[in-house]
Order: sequence, then C-alpha cells, then structure tokens
Amino acid sequence: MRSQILLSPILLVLLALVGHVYARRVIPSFGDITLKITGADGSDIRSETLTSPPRISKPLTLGSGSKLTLNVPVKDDKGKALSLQHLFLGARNDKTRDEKTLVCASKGTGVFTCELDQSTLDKLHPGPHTLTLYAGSVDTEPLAHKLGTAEFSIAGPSTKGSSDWDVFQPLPEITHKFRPADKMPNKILSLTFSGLVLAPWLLLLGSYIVLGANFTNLFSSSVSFISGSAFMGSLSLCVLLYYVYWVKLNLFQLLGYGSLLGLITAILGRQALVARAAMRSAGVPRSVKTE
Amino acid sequence: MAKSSPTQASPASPAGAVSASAQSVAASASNAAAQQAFLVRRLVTSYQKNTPQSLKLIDTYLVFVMLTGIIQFVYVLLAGTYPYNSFLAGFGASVGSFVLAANLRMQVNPENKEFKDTSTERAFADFAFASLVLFGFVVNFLG
Repeated sequence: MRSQILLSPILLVLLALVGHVYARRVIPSFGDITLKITGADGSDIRSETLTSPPRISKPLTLGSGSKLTLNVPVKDDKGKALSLQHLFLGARNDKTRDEKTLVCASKGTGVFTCELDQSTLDKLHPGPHTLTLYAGSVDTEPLAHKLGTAEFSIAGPSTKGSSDWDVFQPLPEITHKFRPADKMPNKILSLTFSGLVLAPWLLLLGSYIVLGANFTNLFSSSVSFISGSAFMGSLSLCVLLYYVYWVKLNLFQLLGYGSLLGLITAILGRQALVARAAMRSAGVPRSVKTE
Repeated sequence: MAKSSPTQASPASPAGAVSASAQSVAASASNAAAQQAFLVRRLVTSYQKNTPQSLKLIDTYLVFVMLTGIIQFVYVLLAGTYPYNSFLAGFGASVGSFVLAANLRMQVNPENKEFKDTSTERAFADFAFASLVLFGFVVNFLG
C-alpha cells in the first residue's frame, strides 16, 4: 500500500516528461529556397526562388563543371527560424536507384546552404536524378521533401579509385604457363646405349658357361627336381607380376597378387632349399674348384 | 739394382752424372712395372686356383651388375637426366643388386668365419627375398 503511494507520483512525473518531449517536437518546414546554377567559368546559368512549398518547376540541367547552390531556410510551425542538427540533399538516380547524399552547411539562424559541385558530380552517374531535402533533429519531426528532378550531363565516376587504397580494378589476365618440354636425347644415342646395356648379359652367360655353371643338382632327386623347378617357376612369376604391374596394374592389385604369390614362393623356396641342404649334408659336392 | 754399362761415361763429369741418374730412374720404373705385373699375375692365378666355383659365379654376377650401372651412368652424362626417375630406378637396381650379391658372397665364403653359423641356403633365401623387395621398389619407380 505504501509502495503504491510512493510509485504513483514517480510515474506521473515520468509521464509528464515524456509527454513534454513529444508535445514539444516541432514540425519543420522549408521557406522560400534560393536556387542558383553557375557554370564552370562562374557565369550565372540559372537563378530562381522556389516559393514554399519549394518545388523545381523545370528540371535542372547540370553539366561537367557546373555548380548548384541552394539556400534553404528552415522554419518551425510558427514561421520562426529553426535550428536543425542535420540537413541533407539527396540525389537519387532514377535508373540505377543509387542515392548520394550531400551534407548541407549551416549558416546559423536556420539557413542551410547545399552546394553540389564538381567533386560531388564526379561520384554520380549521368542521367535523371530526383533531388530530396532531408531534415532531422532530436526535437523535431523528421522531414523528407522532394524538390524535383535534375539531369546530370556528366561523364560518370571514373573506374579508377581516387586514392591508392582503391584497388578494385581489373588486373592483367593470368595465363597459365606450361612447363617447357624436356629436351629429348638423341635417338641414335639412346638405341646405342640400349644395346650396350644389354651387352653385359652376353658376358654373364658366357662366363657362366666357361665356369661350368649347370643344373645337375636339380636332377639329383625327384624332391629336388619338383621343389626346385616350382621355386624357380614362382620366382619367374614374380618377375612377370612386376612387368604386368608396370604395364597395367595399380599398387593395391600388386600388393594383393604379390602377397599371394610371395607366400607360394616362400613355401616352395623353403622346400627347395631344405632339399638342397639335405643334399649338402649327404655329401653331394656344393662346388667344384677349378684348377 | 741394374749394373752400370761399360760404355757409360765416368761419374766424375756432369754429363755422366746426369745420364747415370736418368738410367737409374728408368731402371727403377721398369722394375716397379715388372713387380706390378708380377703381382697381378699372381693374384689372378691365386684367384683362379683357390676360389670356389660358387664365389666365381657370384663375382661374375657382380661384374655384370657393375657394368650395367656404369653404362647407365655414362648414358646419363651424355644424354641428360630426362626421364630422371627411370635413371634412378635403373641405377638403383644396379647398385642394390651389387650390394645384395656382395653380401651373399660374404655369407657364402667358407673362409669368412663371421658367418660360419649361417648356412648357404639361408644366405641365398635372404638374397632372393631382398632382391624381390628391391625390384618391387625399382618397378614402382620406373614410371
């Protein structure tokens, strides 16, 4: 009960403050706007006064080097001069729907000057634009007032940036440079050395014949013959598997087939070498010393 | 030491001294060459007489593998390294085979006491298995 008694005056004060703020928001309006267009040489192209509510009767035409000056008086609902925090002039391109805003400078006493010169024109695209005045302040109602249309006969913004930080421009096209082809060796030289590298085989086989290499121990017993022949056959199959891998297979296939063939080769090899060791233990001569 | 010739000039004269020293140098050089030839002949004779047949067969294989490696290397020097992976595969096969065969020779040699507990069959089995693995890598690298 006591808290309700205390709260009610606080709420009343708050309500009064809010009401005071909203009750005091001024509705601004524009007085007679002075419009002036000067050429690049400073000559007066167009001058007129736009009576309130200000509207441009005939579309403006601005070329390169031209300057548009608007003197905008702002008044409250009682007709007195009103100081605003901001007044902007917006130029909206009717084709691209892109809008650029220009801050109007305050001269004090509620009069603003909007100057649209070459530096602003450089950022605009050519074509018809709609000019709008935007007024805003904390204690006023916001206001957007369309003045009229203006035709900008300008070149348009440059694609190059105005500062070194503007790097958004097309760069030279990157073309892939393929690695130059390797120098191929002389065909005759390659063929000659292909024959030369096979020549030591003749030396090897000839030396084996001279030294008396033979297969007599292979035929010394049936076990030796079978296991030895099978072992040498499996070794040949391993070599064949390597050739097929080089030509056709991939590594996983080689490992698959190779593990199976390797297991068979290991078993057969063990059998062949056990038979050979048995022959050696039984006294069959392992080698013959040549005189 | 060669005897001096009767027609040699007396050592007392300078010309005589020079010719005497030149003759002694020539004689010592020919002596060294003769000694080297004798040592080589003795090495060859001893090798042929005392080396078992199995070791001679392995030595022949070693010479064969060495020659193939040398020929491949000479080719690379003359023709260039393209394709380099093929050269590495071939040369690696020669070098690897040489190493494995040399190890086999060491293990099979009856004069080598270090491997007296290793049978020749076991040595050959190791050689065969290692050769298969080596040629597996070689074929993989051929390209």
